Amino acid sequence: MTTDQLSLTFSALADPTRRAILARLAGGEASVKELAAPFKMTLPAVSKHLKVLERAKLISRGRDAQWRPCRLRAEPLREVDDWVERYRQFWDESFDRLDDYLMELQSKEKDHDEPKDYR
Amino acid sequence: MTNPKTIAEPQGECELLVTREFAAPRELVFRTWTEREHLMNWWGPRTWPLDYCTVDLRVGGAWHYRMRGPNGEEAWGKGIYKEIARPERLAYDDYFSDADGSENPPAMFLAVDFEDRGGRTLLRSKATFASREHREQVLAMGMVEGLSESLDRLDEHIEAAVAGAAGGAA
Repeated sequence: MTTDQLSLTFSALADPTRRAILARLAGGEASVKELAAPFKMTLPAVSKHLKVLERAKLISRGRDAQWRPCRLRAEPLREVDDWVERYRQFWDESFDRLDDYLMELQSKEKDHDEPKDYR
Repeated sequence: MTNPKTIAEPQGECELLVTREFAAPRELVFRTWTEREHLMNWWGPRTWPLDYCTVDLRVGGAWHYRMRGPNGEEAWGKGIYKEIARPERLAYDDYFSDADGSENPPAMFLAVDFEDRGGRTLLRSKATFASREHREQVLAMGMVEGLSESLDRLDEHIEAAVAGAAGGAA
């Protein structure tokens, strides 16, 4: 990707409405009308945002003249996946610790050979 | 192929399910989730352990904690218990917080099920966002975070390009 293309991508992403549009498209393709609904915006205003996103190659649009559904382009929007992965990693690291800790608690119980209150 | 022990999967539009199996009876696993002394020993990534925690285990009660990062950073969290069914289920609203115990949105609703697997325990933690908009808000926050990382890479890219151009001119 050239620096110009990157700048285009980042300036497109800098706007919260456009990020929200992308987040909506992460859940599946949608028409301009569907995209406009949650934002209380006019269709031309939304179309303007979509043009910016399309130029930045963040979305693609269907060819059907009647219903030109907008689709998220997977690259460079791996962030959604990355976010789920960060969430998973947070838990994975905690759970690794819990795993070790549970082992420790249970081996202590065996050592003392008496029912232990884990407090 | 990696075979991660902890699995995260989006479910529908508003849920994210995390599962993991533990080699311990569920009564014990349940206690590690609900008693202060136990939580202090495992909650948070290794580099962000708890250094403060209070637990008031009753419906409507709260658990309030502080995680400490590698450079002394603080991250406060707070859970408000919604359902306590020892030892099979624990549900709470999860907030970002601060030293005063504020409940900062956006909250997620977490329902943790402890399933008995004959001496082992299958843990299923389901996060529910209030609405699709709420989920999108959280995802968009993740995007912003990802964006700042990408911007760092953009900086590097430009620096490299400038250095390359200067090298070519010399």
